[in-house]
Amino acid sequence: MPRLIANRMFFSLFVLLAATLVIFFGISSISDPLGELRSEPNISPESLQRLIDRKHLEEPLVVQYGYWVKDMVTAQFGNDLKFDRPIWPELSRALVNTVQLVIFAELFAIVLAVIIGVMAGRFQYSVFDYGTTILSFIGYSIPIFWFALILQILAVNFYQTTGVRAVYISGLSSVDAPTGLMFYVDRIQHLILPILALSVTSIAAYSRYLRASMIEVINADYVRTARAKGLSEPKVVLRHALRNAAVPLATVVGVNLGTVFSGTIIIETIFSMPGMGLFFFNALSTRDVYSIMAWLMVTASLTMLFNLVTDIVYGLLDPRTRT
Amino acid sequence: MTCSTSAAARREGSMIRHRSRLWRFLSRFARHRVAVVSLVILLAIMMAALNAGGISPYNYDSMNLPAANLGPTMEGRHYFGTDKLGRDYFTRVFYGTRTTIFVAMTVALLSTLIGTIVGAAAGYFGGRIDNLLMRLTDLVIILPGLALLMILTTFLGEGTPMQVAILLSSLLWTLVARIVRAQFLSLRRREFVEAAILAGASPWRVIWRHILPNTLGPIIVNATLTISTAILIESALSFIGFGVKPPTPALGQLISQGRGSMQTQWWLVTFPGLMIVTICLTINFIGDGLRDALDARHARRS
Amino acid sequence: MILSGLATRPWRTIVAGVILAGLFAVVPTVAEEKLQGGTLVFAHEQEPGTFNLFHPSGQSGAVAAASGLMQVGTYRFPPDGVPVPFIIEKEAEVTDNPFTVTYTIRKDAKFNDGHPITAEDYAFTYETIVNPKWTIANRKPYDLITGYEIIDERTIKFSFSAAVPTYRQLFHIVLPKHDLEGKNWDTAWQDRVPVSNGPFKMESWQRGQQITFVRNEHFFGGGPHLDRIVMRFVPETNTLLELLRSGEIDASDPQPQPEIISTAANLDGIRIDAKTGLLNEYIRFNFKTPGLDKKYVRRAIMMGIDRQAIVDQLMKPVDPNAAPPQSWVFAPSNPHFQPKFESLGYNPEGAVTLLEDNGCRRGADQIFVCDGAKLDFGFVTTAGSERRELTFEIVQAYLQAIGISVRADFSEAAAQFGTRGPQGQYDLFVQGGLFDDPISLMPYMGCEGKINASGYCNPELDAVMNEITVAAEPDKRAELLNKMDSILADDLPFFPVFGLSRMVVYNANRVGGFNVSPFTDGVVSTGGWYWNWNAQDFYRVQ
Repeated sequence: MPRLIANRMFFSLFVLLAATLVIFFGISSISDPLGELRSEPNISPESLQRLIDRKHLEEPLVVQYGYWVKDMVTAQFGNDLKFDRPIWPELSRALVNTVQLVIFAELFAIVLAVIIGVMAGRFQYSVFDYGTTILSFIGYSIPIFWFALILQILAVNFYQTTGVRAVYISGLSSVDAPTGLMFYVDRIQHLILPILALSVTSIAAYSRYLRASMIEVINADYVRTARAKGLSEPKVVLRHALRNAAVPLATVVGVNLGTVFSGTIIIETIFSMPGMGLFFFNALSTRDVYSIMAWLMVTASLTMLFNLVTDIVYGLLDPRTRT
Repeated sequence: MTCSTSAAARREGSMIRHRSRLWRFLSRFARHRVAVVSLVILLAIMMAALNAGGISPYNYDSMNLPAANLGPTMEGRHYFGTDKLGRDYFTRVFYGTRTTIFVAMTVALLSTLIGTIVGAAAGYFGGRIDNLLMRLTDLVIILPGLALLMILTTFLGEGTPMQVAILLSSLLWTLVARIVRAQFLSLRRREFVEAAILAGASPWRVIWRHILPNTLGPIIVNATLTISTAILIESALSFIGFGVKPPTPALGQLISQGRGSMQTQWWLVTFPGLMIVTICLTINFIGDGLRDALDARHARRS
Repeated sequence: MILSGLATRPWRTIVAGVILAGLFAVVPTVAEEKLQGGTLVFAHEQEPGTFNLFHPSGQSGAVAAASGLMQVGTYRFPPDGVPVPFIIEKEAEVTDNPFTVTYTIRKDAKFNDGHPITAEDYAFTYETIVNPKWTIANRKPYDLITGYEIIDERTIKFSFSAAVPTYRQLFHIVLPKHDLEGKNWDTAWQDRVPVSNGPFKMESWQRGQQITFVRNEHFFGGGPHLDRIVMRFVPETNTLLELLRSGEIDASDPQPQPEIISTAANLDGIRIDAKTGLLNEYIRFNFKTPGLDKKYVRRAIMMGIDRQAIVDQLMKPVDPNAAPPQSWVFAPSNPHFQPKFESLGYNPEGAVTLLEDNGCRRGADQIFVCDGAKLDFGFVTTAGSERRELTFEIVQAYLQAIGISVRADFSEAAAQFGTRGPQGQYDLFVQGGLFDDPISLMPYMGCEGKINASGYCNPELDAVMNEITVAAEPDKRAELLNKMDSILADDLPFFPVFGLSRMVVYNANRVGGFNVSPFTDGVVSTGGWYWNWNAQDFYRVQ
């Protein structure tokens, strides 16, 4: 097993190295880092030359790649081109905000999915089962940006009719963010809508998955044995059935995380959340090539990490899949 | 001589086997009532979209400023109202549906093709080829697809529906590849495959005649679900302004153009949104029906 | 008695009526309850990356939106178009041969730390801009300054190597020498501006979330009424409208998109303050495209488009006074205004006749073919901009009617302005621009223009533009500007379609005092602070 893990890690590093090549040469071949600045009549040739010198843009691409990798490794991606600001403080702050959003969204999705999946699996073909099945199919089919827009309208309509501000529709905190415990209440009020919008697909996927494995497990011999031993029904379901049904879910969650991260680009733009998604959106709209590349590298590394962990967990659980 | 007769006989036999298998499959699918109803609805939408010019008296791009911003009304047959330039929104939504379905179908076909080839090669040949192809798959998986598409359209401009479809396909084949590889890995060691190899059949022939037919179930189910995934990604892209180049309408783009007017012209966002939900819902139900009918338990959802 | 008295002396009735009417006119503003103090929450679509207005990265609307609250310039530019001396106590004194400008700073002018603004600060600002050590986006026209003389603490005289007619736009910010001296200017204002001279000063910047500006107690221009302005960042139009509706924000300065206008009109208490100046949306021709190299084709295109209909459809709802622009250089209210583009007004029959007279023949598809070139053009415009997409669709319909076809060639904003425009990859090109001055026009239309890839070149125009850059005498300059305008109207390398309103949308139940100005206030900051030039007058109601 340790050998398998070491093996996987080695190949992951190899894939990441390939990613740096694809990202750098891909982006460089389709973009001119100075494109926008060149067309700006307010920027003089000397200013441009300064920027060119700073990023060695007159050197061959291979040399530029070297500088880029060096900056990435030694200076946490270095500075961006236009603002000449270090990229990492911005990016890491955005990363923290996004991780916070994604963790909450996934926790919410898992808790809800477990409840739905267990109930639906335990009471197969009941009204609850049919209802949640239909809902989960809708969850799969709804465009999350459309859902987010509807959530915003509903929230504002609710505020206008009742005068109670239950949730906020943009940002991370109020203008005058309260301190102490109320700070967290305020934060949650800001996060609720993005969490709902981001978790809808996950809820649908996880609950379907859990329902299926619950049905499989609940008819398994050891669950029947547990029942026969006279254990109470909740105990049977929770201790024996759920435990075994939930283990494979871990791998599904791992694989799904990449998709959730992609979803943050749209969700954070709609809800004005200063996270990775909005960072990327802003970098793209100012054509800030170095920030875009840094973002791609961080996202790729994270996804790599999820996949690695998922594979290892899967390998630990199911020795047959060793390849 | 004998060889060819036996081949012909075998072919006939396999056809009979196929026919009965097909029949079993169809009757099983027909038992999944929701899937059947979904299929009927989806076909109806597709027919209407293909014939979008015929079902409405309007052209999708003909302006009529005095009739701008009408709500849905039977009068003048503006069932979905009109947009800011007085264009009939019903017509535009169905033309948009046509674009979106075209993109999604193309993506499903192309990505399945790429994924099957990669997965089959990796699973059949194994060893170094497998390792190389799977690392390539890993690379595509770790690169954030939506972001890459946004980057490409930013620097290269928005595309025609075909270009968007090709871009999406080049990112969505990884799941099929993994599924097909897993199937091939297990089938490769089965007796009938090993027998064929020992009998001297070429790799291509073994893949095509012996292994692939047995993996069709998961591939078809996954291709169906890819249509729905592609619709959602394409509309998300169009929504943030990185999809199909206007004025060709696409569903996400219609929502995007109307989203600032939700308070005043709710129909601009509601109808294309409902159309996306309806199409994806029917496709997901059909996929479910197919899975049951094919009993393709191994097909995982993305 | 009183009644009869009123009846017999009608003039008194009129006077009384006028006074009463005046009272009533005053009453609603009084009832609005202009509060002293309070917070205004303002949303802008982007977060500024710096506050260094001279840096290449400082050339954005977000930087101008934030800086305008903290900075006041030598002059200010109210909506009536007459520049008002602001930091200086009277009009700058100007001499010709050599060209000099002398500023006399008002006695009460102070920075927000109470330090007076002096001639030293003007000199320091100049020194900073021309110092080769610093990254300055553009040193024009400060590089024309040959020297300065500090006459006394409040008076400074700058000498120039050539006349700078736009001298009123110089020194639109003044840097505090006592705070910045010895610091690295490139980074000094990257994260915060400790010392500035505007009605508000920077308090904090929670990156990604908000910038908080608080009242400057030392402000010398009156007010400010508000205690605090909080700037937040909202990239999504729909979210912006929902925020206004829910009261999470009080005001914003979005692009003038029709969707915002129509939605705001239907929301309770939401008002739009918009003014249209000389910033126009225009259509530009590529002379390298066969067909568009012919003057009569360009004229036919302009004559075939009902600009009035476009204005009515797109801008009227924001600015009731909006009309198709007829001059690039002067607003209709200006005494020098001459409607150079009026002769090419909407005239579809005339356009068809013009084409036919020049030997164009309609093909089987009713599209004209002139001299072997089919009048079928790609129209490059910004994808995702509702205003521009609608403009395209309207133009397409009008031109179709006179036998000219245009195809959509939509492009994402960055690609459109970053590569396609500067590299001439277009037939027709839509853009917004302000060309009331050769400095802004030259890069686009000059023969050697930095981003002129259209193949248009007229030495006569270049000559006139060069003449204007050194013509300081107002009447002479106006005459030359009009001459420039008539060359543009005659050659027709581009033509204005409609004026782009600058607007602020705000919740009148909560805030007021906005008075958008369509005029720019600095050569360096093209975005200008059109909405926040009078930030000291903003107030809260209720």
